[in-house]
Amino acid sequence: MRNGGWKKRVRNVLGILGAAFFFLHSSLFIFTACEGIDCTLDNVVTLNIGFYSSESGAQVSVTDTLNVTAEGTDSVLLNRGRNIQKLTLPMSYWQEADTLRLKFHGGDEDYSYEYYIVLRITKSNQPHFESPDCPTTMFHEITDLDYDDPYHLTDSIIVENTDVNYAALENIKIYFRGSTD
Amino acid sequence: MPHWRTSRYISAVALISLFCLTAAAREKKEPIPKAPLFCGAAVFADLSGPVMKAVGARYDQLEVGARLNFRDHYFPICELGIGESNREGRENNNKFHTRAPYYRVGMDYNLNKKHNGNRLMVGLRYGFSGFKYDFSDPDFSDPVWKGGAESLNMKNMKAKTGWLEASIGCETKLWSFIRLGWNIRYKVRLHQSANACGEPYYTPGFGKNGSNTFGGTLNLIFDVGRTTKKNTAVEQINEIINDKQ
Repeated sequence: MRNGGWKKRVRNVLGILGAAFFFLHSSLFIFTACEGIDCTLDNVVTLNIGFYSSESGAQVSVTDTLNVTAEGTDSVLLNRGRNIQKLTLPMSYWQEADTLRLKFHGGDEDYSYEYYIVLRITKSNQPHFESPDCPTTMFHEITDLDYDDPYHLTDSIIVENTDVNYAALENIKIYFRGSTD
Repeated sequence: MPHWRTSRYISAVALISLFCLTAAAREKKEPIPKAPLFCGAAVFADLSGPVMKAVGARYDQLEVGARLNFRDHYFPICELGIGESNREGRENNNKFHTRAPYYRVGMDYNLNKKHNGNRLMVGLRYGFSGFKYDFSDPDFSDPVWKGGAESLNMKNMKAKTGWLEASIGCETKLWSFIRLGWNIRYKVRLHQSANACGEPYYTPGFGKNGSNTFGGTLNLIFDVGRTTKKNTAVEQINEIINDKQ
């Protein structure tokens, strides 16, 4: 090989090694330094229940005091709620069905009353993850809804959307008889 | 550093390299001898994977490949490797693990018209990986109902991913039949099927899972077969032409 060719070869090798250095430098930025935490911001999974009037079909507020409890836990899911239009409630991770008791209190010093509705929601449970950095949650799919309404407060209770997930869609609609607003 | 700044930085490096090589190619305009139809083959190994493993990157891969050389311009190429990720959550105890093979097929095109051992390559590849992945969360418990499982441990979830890669890079001859080259790649995910519980954090060969990502390789290349003789002849012609000037 001639002298000029040898110099050219050395120049080429130095050039490619320099470029490789930049490449590796950039790669390390990508692979080790610049990774952000990309978790879904709305990462709360709740069962969403809306209250409606059977006459108008419009959403209504429950003026009575509302308490929500669930079988299988001592926790009160909603304590003394007033003017409630919708409920956002946690669901159990592993149970096949959740039984919710909605207690309505009303009246005054002379007269008070208490009614309740019991919802039994059968569901499937599916763990959900996005990334090791993000919290793991449980998604659900409502497969059946049964309810007990001994005081005939409601006209009907329907499942509007079966998926309980990050989308936070309204899952159950409770149509009260007459107007409770 | 934000992701867009990194992308801009890498793009700048690529453009500077491209400019230097094209400027060098414009220096002398001489009749270029035509390379033979089949110029040989080459095998190569990616050096960046072991570096990533050594520095403790969140994922790494060991990759080898082979390619053919037609006219010193067209390089049908296939690559295969093993990608691995053992990732723990930064603010929790979640763990993700996968280790699986991946494959790529495609074509590189050499933009350098001279057959002087330097190549400026652009390429297109299709990559595929079918793999299993594990995910565990030791602190996964029901905050309200209690009871039930106190942790989550999902193993052998199946996924299949296919993607397209557009690459740009360059390479040069180090010595005799040994070459060194690098490239950066923009990858676009074409399809993916994954477990309903969640998509994998990392796809072997693709990188961090998402609709698109960047990557690259630093390849040590070994020319095999007829390459050495044919290319040497072509390069000798080029050197004679250069020396006459």
